Parts: sequence; C-alpha cells; structure tokens
Amino acid sequence: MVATLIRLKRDLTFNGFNQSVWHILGTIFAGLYGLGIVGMIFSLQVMEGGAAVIDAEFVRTASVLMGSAIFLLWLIIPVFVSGADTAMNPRQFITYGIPRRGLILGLALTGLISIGAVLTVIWLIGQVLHWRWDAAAAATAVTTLPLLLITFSLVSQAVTTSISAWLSGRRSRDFLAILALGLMVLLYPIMIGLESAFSSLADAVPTVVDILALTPLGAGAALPADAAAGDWGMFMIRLAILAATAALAVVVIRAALVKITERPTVQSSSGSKSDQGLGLFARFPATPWGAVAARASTYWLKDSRYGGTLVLLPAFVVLAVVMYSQLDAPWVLLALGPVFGWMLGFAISADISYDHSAFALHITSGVSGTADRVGRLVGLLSFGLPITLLSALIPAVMFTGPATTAALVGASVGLLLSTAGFSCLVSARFTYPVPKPGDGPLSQPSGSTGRLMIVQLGMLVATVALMLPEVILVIVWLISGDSWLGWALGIAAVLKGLGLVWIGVTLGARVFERSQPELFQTVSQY
Amino acid sequence: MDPVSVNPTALMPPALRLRGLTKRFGQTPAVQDLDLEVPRGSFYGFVGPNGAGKTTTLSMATGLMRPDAGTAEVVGIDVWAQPSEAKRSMGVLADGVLLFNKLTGAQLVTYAGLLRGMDRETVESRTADLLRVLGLEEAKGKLVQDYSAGMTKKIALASAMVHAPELLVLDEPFEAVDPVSARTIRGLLESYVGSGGTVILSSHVMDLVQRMCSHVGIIAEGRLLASGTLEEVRGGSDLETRFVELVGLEGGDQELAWLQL
Repeated sequence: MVATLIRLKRDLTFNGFNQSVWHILGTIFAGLYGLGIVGMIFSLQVMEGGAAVIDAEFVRTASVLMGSAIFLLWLIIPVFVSGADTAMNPRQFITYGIPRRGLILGLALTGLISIGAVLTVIWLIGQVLHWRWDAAAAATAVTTLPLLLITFSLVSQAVTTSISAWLSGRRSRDFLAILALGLMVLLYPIMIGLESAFSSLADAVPTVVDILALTPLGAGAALPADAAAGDWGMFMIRLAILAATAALAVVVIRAALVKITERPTVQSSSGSKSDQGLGLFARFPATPWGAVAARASTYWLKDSRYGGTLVLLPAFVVLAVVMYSQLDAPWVLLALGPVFGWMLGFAISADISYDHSAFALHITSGVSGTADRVGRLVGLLSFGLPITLLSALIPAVMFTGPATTAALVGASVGLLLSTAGFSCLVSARFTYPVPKPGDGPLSQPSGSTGRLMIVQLGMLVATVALMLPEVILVIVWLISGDSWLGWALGIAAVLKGLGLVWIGVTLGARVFERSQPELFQTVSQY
Repeated sequence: MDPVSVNPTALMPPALRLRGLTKRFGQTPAVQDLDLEVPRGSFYGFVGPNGAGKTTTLSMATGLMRPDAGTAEVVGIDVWAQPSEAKRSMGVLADGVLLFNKLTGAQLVTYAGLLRGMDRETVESRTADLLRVLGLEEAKGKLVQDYSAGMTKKIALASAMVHAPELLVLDEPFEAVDPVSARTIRGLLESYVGSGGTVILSSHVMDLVQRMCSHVGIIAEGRLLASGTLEEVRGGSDLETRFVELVGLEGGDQELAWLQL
C-alpha cells in the first residue's frame, strides 16, 4: 500500500511536468532558488565545522535557529498550498478503503518526494558536517537525520490533513490564509517588540535559542549540542520532546483521517444570508459600464481573492505606525499614500484572470471594450481613490507644509491613475494565472510561477518608467526648494495620471475587442 | 406540436448559418469544414458523442472561440465581422463555464441585462418574470455559488434570455439537471419556440432531443453526419438507433467474463 502511494506521488509529480513548459521552468526556478540558499548554508556549515577554533555555543545557536526555521517552513507551507487540490489530498482516498496505518505512513513518506525534502536532507547532511569535530555530536546528528526528516514530514502532513478535515470550508481557509499573510507583514513589529524587550537583538538570541531548544521547533536540532556537552539528561528530555511531536502528529493525522474518511461532511451551503436587494447594482448607473463597475466592486467586497489585497492595507498602516514610533522617521507614514496608490492601481491588472471562464458572459453579451475597461476602472476607483487620498493626506497634513502636501497627494493620486490606466491596457492582452474562483487568495495555481513573474516584472519595470516625469520633478524641487514646484508636481502628476487613464482605456478597449476569444480561451484554462 | 415548415420566414436568412467552420487544436482537427443551418422558429437538437466537437462548434458560433476558417451568421449577420450586432440577436448558455457566482441570482440576471444596455426598469421586470417562471423566486437573494446544479443551469438560462433574443444557443442545458428543473426549462423553451424564437441545443440524451426537437444535426469527429428535420434524420427508426448506426458502436458486444456474478 505504502509503495503504491509513493508510486502514485511519483507519477503525479512527473505528469505535472508534462502539463506546460511554465510548470517545468517554475519548478526549476524554485528549486534553484532553494538550492542557492541551502547551498550557502551548507558551505557555511562545512566551513564552521572545520574551523581551527570551534565556538560550540555558536554552532549550537546556528543549529537551533536553522532547525527551528526549517521546522516552521514545513509547518507553514501546507497552509499556503493546501487548497482543495493538492496532489495527495487525503479526501481523494475516501472511496478506496485503504487501511489507516498504511495511509498515514504512505502520506508521510510521499511528503518526502518534494523539493523541500531534498533541500532539508542537504541541510541535515550539513548538520552532520557542522558537528564533525565531536564524535558523539556527529553520531547523534547522523542517527537523528532520518528521525528529524520523518518528523518534519509527519508534522507537515498533520497540518495538511487537519486543514482538509476541519477547515475545508471556504471561509475558514481564506481566514487562515489571510491570517498568515497578516502575520508575515507584522513580523517586523514583532521583531521590534522582541528587540525592545531585551536591550538588543544580540542579547536576545541566547534566551531565544534556549527557549526554542525546549520546543518541538528546535529540540531535534539541539540534540548534537547536548551530546557534545555531555549533558545526557537534557539530551533525553529533548529526544522525548521530538518523539512526542512525531507521536502527536501521527495522532492528529489519524484523527483527521477518521474525520475525513468516516464522517465526511457534505460541503454545506455556508448558509449565506439572503440578500433581497440588488446591492451595488442599484447604486451604479444602469449602463453596461455601470454594471461592470457594480459587479467589480461587489467582488472586491465578497471575493477573498480581492479582499486579500485590501486586508494588506491596514496591515501596512500598522507596520508604518510601528516603524514610525520606533525610528521616529515620518517618511514611513508619508510613503503610505504613494505605496497604496501604486498597489491599488496594480490590483486590476489580473481582473480578467480573476473572472476565469465567467468572462464568457462579457463576450456573449457583446460588451464594448470601453464599457468593460471603464467599468473595471470605476469599480476600483470608487474605493481606491478615497483610500489613496486619505492615506496621502492625513500623514502629509500631520508632518508637512502645504506645498509638500499638494505634491504628495498629487503624486499618490497620479500614481494610482497611472498604474490603473496602464493595467487597463495590459490586462486586455496579457493575463497570468491566479487562484480560481472559490479558492483562497494564496493558493497559487500550479505551473504559474514563470509566467506570473515575467508579466509582473514587466509591468513593474514599465510603471517605474512611467513615473520618470514625477521623479525628475521631485529632483528639481529638492534642488531648487521652490514651494510652487510642489504644487506643480502634484498637479502634473494628476494630469499625467488622467492622460494615462485615457490612453489605457482607449487602447485597452481596442485590444480587448480584438483579442476577446483568445483572452477567454486563456483565462478559462487557469 | 408541429413546427412551422413552410411559411414566409423561409425567405429570411436562417437563425443560424455555419459555413465551412473549421478548428484545429495543434495537429488534431476538432471541427472540419462544418456546414449547418438552423431555420427560424425551429427547435434544433445538436447531438454527438463526447468530444465530437459540439462545444467547439457552438463556441465558434457564439464568439467564444475564433474559427480557423469558415463563417458563422446569426439572422444573416456575421458573428466575426460584426460581433456586437450579431450578439444582440443571440442568447448563449455556454457549457462548463463558471458564472459570476458571488452575485445573487437576481443580481446575475440584472447584470446580464444591463451589460446588454437595457434600461433598469425593463431589466427589473424581466428578471422578476424569469425568476418566477423558473421557480427561482425564493432563491433570488442567495449567492449563485450556493445554488444546486439545476438552479445554476436555470439562472444561466435566465441570463441568456433576459434580452429576448431571436436565437438561443444552449450548450448542454440539461446536463446534471434534476427532472423537475428539466421540465421547467423545457416548458420555458417550448413556449419560447412557440412564440417564434429559435433554439439550438446540444445534448447527448437522445430521448430528450427526440421528444423536444423539430430538427436534428448529428456530429461525430468534427463532421456533420446528418441534419434536417427529426423525421428526415431518424427515417422511420428511433433517433438513438440512427445515431448509433451513424456514429458506430464502441467495444462491440464483448462481455466481461469476470463480471458475471
């Protein structure tokens, strides 16, 4: 049974490569990226382990920190990738009646057929070399290698299976993903908090390492250090922690599998509130573009794939306020307006990809290119403009004079309009894969990395080029210091933004009408 | 029900005319040089095995897929030369296509109407009518993502009909639909055809096509094997027999020896 599952995973992996060149390129790229990082760590481990004077404390610190980070990755990655459609979703095995023990072991082992596992093995071998100056420590590192690897895999599988069992609802999955995203953004304030708790980050490290080494995160990686120090009491305690972690993971997987296979819940109709009115459709004009705008704004409110972007905004505000209070540098707050303008303008660059095959309705109703483009733009601006205005205006009024305020507000709004106008044009021709309707904001479609990065990078470069006039004006302003230049900058930025919107909509509409069927065929494949 | 066979509309261009329609995916031809005519006022059943090219043909007729060669005309207007004019006369239910399912049922139909440039009052009253006739009145405030398969087909049909088109192109309107919903859809389509509308629908349920349609076209491997009125095509026998004769059996009459319980 276990062998069958492993063969299945192998076949699924290789068949995935047949899908598209982008999938292969994406995998290679991700693999190389990971290999680069792990390679660097590996060479460090080898060098440190062979140094003339060995600082045992340093080796321990490095081991525990890296071990904890890798454990955390195994823990977190499934939260991001596990949608309804991971290759080895246990839900798919319900109908086969596979003995549970075989399924648990099989799933844990198939988790090892991945780039992540290969990279982890490299790190674990590096770990052995890192400790090679002490026989007992090196022996420990060798013997705990498979133990750690299987624990990582079990824990990762436990997360995947639990999500599938208890958090399969669309809402809870979105919530989880957005929570993880928010945490990532808030990592900096957390670090700052840690730093202020101790006098400096360097002072905090020994305490942090000692605590980590007593948690499942770092216990396994700290084992060689105990062996080297001859502290066999702690060694046994940490070994027990590691064993308990693995055991707990097995228990969790088991319980989750019982839930999935023996008490499968029917996807309930989330009991959404019945909304009798027409919502935003009653508020926008009763024209084709008004309808598109109403639909787009409705999606911004209801579809978590769009909402994911909006959730980032308050997280950024928190981040900026924390950074300001720490560094006493108002520029972080002043940067909010332009950053939001740029982010929001970009947000409609994937609009048609988000529609997926529902875009068919636009084609079969013969919506004009202008109505489609203007509608999506107005949908964004209806809330994007006030957000950008406020986020530029409030900090500017707090910290600067009228000229700078005018420049900042103008530049933010101009940036929003410029990128939005540019998105109107580009999104009519270049699409990239996005999560499917109904998926969470973070579930990346397979085989998308390559194309996604190329389109986004291209757009990034292009928007930077579009911002050149503003940059030149800012430089002139900073050099001459004339306050009227601030006003000129603000007005020029807005005018340029309006011009780009006009160009983006006009050209975008033409491109849209010419390439409708091709657009549809592409986005419905995502 | 006896559909109109000879009347003045025969002089007008047919509701749908496909000429030399061809589509290739890489090396595999999906549709080859396909000619098809759907007379006005007919209820046309477009049947064929899976993968025969039904969806590809209908996609090319509705502007969803660009043909490699050939033309498609709706009431005499070329779909690819004058798309917005042609699409005005046509309502489409595409198969395997998602709907904007974060909208409520009423919002979706309203959206379809407004996209067509209709005014708010007309859209509102027609939406209410359609939802009532299709038995979706109670569910009109629910999100489409929470609809059952049958309700989804019905709301998609409502979106395709809200602008009162002359031609309805329906790809698999009865797939995964329960008998009650199927009857509702059928009733609506029959009264639509009765009042002068034209329907072309694809299906692989022969029995259904035989009971509903006045005209039939059989497609296999991207070619039209037979077309005409139901009587002409089935020629005395029933449609399924004729269909299997034309398309051919697969696997013959072989039996699975180990499945004799």
